[in-house]
Amino acid sequence: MLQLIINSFTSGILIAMVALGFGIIFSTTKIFHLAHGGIYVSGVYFFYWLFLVVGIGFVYSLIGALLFTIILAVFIEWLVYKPLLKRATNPNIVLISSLGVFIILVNILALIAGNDIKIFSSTLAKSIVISNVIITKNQLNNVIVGLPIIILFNYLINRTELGIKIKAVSNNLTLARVVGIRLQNIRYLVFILGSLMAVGAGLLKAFDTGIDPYSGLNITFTAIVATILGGSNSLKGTIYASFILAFIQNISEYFLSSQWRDPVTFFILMVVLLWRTEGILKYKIRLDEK
Amino acid sequence: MNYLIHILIFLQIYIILAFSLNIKTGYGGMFSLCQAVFYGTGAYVTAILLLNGFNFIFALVIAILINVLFNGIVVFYLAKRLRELYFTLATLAFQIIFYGIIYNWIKLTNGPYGITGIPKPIICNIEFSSPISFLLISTFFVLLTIIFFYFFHKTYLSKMIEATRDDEIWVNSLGKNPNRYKFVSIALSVIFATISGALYASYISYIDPSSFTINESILILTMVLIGGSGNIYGPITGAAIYILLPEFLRFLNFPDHLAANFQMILYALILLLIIRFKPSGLFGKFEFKS
Repeated sequence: MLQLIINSFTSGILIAMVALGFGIIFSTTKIFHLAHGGIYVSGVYFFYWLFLVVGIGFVYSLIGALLFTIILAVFIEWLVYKPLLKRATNPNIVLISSLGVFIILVNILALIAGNDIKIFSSTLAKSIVISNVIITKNQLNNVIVGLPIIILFNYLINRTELGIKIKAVSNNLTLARVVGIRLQNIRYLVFILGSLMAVGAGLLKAFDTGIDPYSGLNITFTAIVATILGGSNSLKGTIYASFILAFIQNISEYFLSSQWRDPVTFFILMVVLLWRTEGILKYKIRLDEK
Repeated sequence: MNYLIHILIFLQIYIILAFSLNIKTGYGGMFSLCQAVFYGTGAYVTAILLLNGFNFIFALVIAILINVLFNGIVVFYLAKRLRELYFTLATLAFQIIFYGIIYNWIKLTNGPYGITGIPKPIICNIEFSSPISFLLISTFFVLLTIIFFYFFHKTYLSKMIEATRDDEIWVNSLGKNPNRYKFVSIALSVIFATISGALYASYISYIDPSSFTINESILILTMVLIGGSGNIYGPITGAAIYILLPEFLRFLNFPDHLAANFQMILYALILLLIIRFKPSGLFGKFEFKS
């Protein structure tokens, strides 16, 4: 049981990172950014290429991968989402075009690097055993690296002027514009921030269990469920929801089978969408609110 | 020759499928990512009934009934309660739950191993076993679908479904119940998806869960978006592009292991370009706007 809790805590951190990235993009731009999963994978693959194929040091590869992520995020926003913004398109159309971006990114990766799983270290990770609880080194990495990033992200959004600006745009677009916030810059910034969070999580995940081009969609779906479960404007809610989701996923894997993990996650999403909309969501979805 | 017939049969199956989604998404305005659920249920139910020695037509009717009563009602309930993005998300959830069920319900669906040896349809003691005779049967159903939608497009019911898409409150103010029209469009969508699922199952004679994943749903949706909705040319064009694109690439002597990825990239690119430059689709009259 304790093992389950620890496992869910460490995987919850990863979900929380992706979910926070997704949530900040979703709440600010109202874009349902499925390409998040594509960025999550591409950043890791770029790191893999720099680190193991080109062979520059760890730090340089990391910097390179993060720079690549920033460029990719800005590029996607500039090329795909910005033109759609002008036409005030249906959110579903934006979702589909985001899906298109995702398909393109993933298949380009698969074309270049192949469909197989990429693993950074082939040896079994060292683990610490305390009575009957096993903690692997990678799980420890998740906590040591992931938790400070989440706290830093929270600080950035809640305490700095930049964060306040992002919140202003997500709360009331028109008013934010009146005050003189440059919407486009905020959008670029939000995409960069969110994508960096995703790639951070992707790197941690890659060091843990390896990564293949298609793994992005799965964690993005989980992150989406966490974002909606937590309420689209609340960072804290998202983080709590991520841990709850990770716990439920671990339990369903333990008691049923790993094949039931996604159905269970999405069953929760459906229940939340249907019966707990008001309390958890802050985005208008009901007909009479329209 | 058999190769051509094979492509034609597949094209026809997908044309029916595209029409089935068109009535829901194009006319009804319900952006759903769960068409593969209807398609899959149709395929599975007819497969199981055919294996137990039932008549093809009887199996088809039973499959339609089961499909409308279970999946149709679920999606209708979702459509009644949720709007826009959240409806799309809920249908996505439904799709993933469905996949989980057919994957794990080994007793009924044989799980990941799939159902093999599905017999070819026998109607009036004539067995449609050769490809060319199967082409006859699928052509019959395609013509049925096209003629049905050609005439359906001119009916009062169709206009009311479109009115519900454009302005639900307006329909309500006429004293009509918009939910009724939603149900009609979902039920029609289910019926035609079942037909194409039944054709698919008895043509391929082997089905497994991997044919009914979320990717399939996404592809069907993109077919409708690329072709455009609101008339009978749109779905035909969408399905034709999707089916003929890989065959076209084959003639360019593209290496086999790269072809699938390259095809997806090309397909997603077409989708993005259409959304960017002709949002109503190639032949559509109606554009999704918020």
